[in-house]
Amino acid sequence: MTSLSIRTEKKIIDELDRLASLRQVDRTTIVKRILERGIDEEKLELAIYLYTKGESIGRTLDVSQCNIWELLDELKKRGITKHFDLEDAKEIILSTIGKNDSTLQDKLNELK
Amino acid sequence: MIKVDSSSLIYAIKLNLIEYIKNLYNEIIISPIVKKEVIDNVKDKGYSDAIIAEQFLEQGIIKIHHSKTIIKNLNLGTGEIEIISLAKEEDCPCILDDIKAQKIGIKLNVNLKSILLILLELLKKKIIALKQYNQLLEKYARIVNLSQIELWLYKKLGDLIQ
Repeated sequence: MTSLSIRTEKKIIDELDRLASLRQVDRTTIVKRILERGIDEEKLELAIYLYTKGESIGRTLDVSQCNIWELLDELKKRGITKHFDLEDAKEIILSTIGKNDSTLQDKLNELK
Repeated sequence: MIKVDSSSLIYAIKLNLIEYIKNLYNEIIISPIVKKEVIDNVKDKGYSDAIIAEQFLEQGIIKIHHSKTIIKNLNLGTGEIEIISLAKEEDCPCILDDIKAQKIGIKLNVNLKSILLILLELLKKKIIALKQYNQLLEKYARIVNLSQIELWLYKKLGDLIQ
């Protein structure tokens, strides 16, 4: 364990003491709980930010260290759409299932 | 044999596709990082689908392979890189669900699949009918917030392929 000291407004200290008293714990315990929860929230926000900036899901997880289930749930909840680009998708389809299918290739190339 | 990354594994479980994928490819392989991301990191957090993933692992439906050579400088996540490396090393397909990872996989000549391409494969091989394909597509669209254009594209492809 190591210690951390911060300067903050009196109203924050009063609120911490009020919460600690209601939960029947000391001020340190309530601060630790809030910090732990805040760190998890911050990791999730960082992950969402990175994903919306174009990082892959995997890279987003590595950097933010958040949990994948929570991230996928949160992306869904916030209505953040899965990364997509029509030209990239066509390229992927043509080089996979469309590789030996000339009809599919023609139809795909017609799509704008 | 097919390799599966973390988000693809999660979506495959949510769509009840694991048995279909096993029937198509015989073996479903994940990497240690994928196991860590999908199962170990959320132990005791009550994610029911993570428990299902663990059961698949215990039953041998999903197996873990370790990659000997990890491809470097791909600017992807460790789990995605492990799966691409394994697919290259063992010369087999892999399911990647992120378009950035898919593009890198294609550049590296990996036999790439995605959840949507698996659905098309099931339709093409007449394992599922068009109606079921469209239902699974709609469900997947809800789970991942698929853009309208991607949903439209895969509906069109379903009509073309059936």
